[in-house]
Amino acid sequence: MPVSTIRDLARPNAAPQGGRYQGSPWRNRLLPARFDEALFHVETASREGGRRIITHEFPKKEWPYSEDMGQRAMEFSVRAYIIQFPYDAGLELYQRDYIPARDRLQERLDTGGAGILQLPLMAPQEVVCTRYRLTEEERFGGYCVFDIQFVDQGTKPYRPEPDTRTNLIAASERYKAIVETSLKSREAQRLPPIVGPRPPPA
Amino acid sequence: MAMEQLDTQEAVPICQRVLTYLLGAAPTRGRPGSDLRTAVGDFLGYAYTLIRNDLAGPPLSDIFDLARATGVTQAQLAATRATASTETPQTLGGKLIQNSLIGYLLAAEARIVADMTFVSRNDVNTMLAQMNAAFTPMEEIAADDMDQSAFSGLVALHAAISYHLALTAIPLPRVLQFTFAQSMPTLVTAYRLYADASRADELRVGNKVVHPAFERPYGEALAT
Repeated sequence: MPVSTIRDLARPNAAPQGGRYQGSPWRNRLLPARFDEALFHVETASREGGRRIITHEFPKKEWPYSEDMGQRAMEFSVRAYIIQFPYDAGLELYQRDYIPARDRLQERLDTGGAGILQLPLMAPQEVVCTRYRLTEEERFGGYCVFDIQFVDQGTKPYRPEPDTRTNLIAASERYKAIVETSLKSREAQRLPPIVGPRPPPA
Repeated sequence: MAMEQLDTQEAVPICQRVLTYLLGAAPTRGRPGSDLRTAVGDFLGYAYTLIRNDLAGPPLSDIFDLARATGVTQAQLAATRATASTETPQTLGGKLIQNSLIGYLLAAEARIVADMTFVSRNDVNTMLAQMNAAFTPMEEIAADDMDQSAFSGLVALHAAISYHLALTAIPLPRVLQFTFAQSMPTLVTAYRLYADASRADELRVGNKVVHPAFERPYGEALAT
């Protein structure tokens, strides 16, 4: 039995009275929410950003100075839920038994490490989960809620060390190849003749 | 165009002298040694033909690779290079072979230095000074010859080896002189210097101590 979803409203021919309803563009952009391979529904998704502003207040001065210390790390607060589906529709999230989908999401959050967070209306982001809360209530059978906190994974600060050994070996091989080439026919290479060290003065 | 006959006649003995010296300097035991002896013997057996036909490059390159495989040290290759430098060929072919042999030796030395482990900063600085002394005259020759390819290759290799040695030296301790009032066992000296008596053997080896109970009151030791 087909179940109508929020996506159906985005279709132009879904106008109830057959009018000139063109749908809502944002509905076309809705994407299934997931963290890596773990799918979930989203009740609320919020993104928190801003700048790291340090305000300096000086003694005997009237004006403070707010110094911009760079971008604040993006934080994502997600209220995700997994609920049983009326029938087994193939995907793990759309099953009559919601437990496998719940366990998969919980396992992924417990594993740690950076992953791709896709929220329905936001661009995918590489994040890491800092904490989560799984709630199941007896009066809501077949339904669980995850309150998850993600933070932007960003880039590890590093200072690349030059691999001088590898560079030296490569330079040695290159020079050897040059010497080998110089021993080939001078005319074929069209190179000037090599003149060796001069004899010591008499 | 093949090498001239007179040039070849001068180049072959140069190869013989240098490669024979290399065989004498390099450890030629075991399978790698046997391979090196075979390669050198093969080359010298056909040296005239190979050089005359401008085919000496690959077998010479193999010889120096095999020499490295025998565990030859940088000092042994430097001695071989010094032998090659004493040659005074008069023909272009002879000079070409001499320069090529020195070039192969420099490349092999650089390759060995890449894998060397140094104990102190002084060792690294000594090696750097040796390498500078080895590269500078060859760079002069390549520049005078207007051989752009060889010059840029030499300069790049010189720069790579200098940078490698400079960075290798940074974390290493210096070697310092020490003097005590009286002769002591190396155990006591090690404890006095490092608060670590287990480094007694290091002092014994480094200062060529005849008997570890009677080390001279002066000597050299790592700073840390």
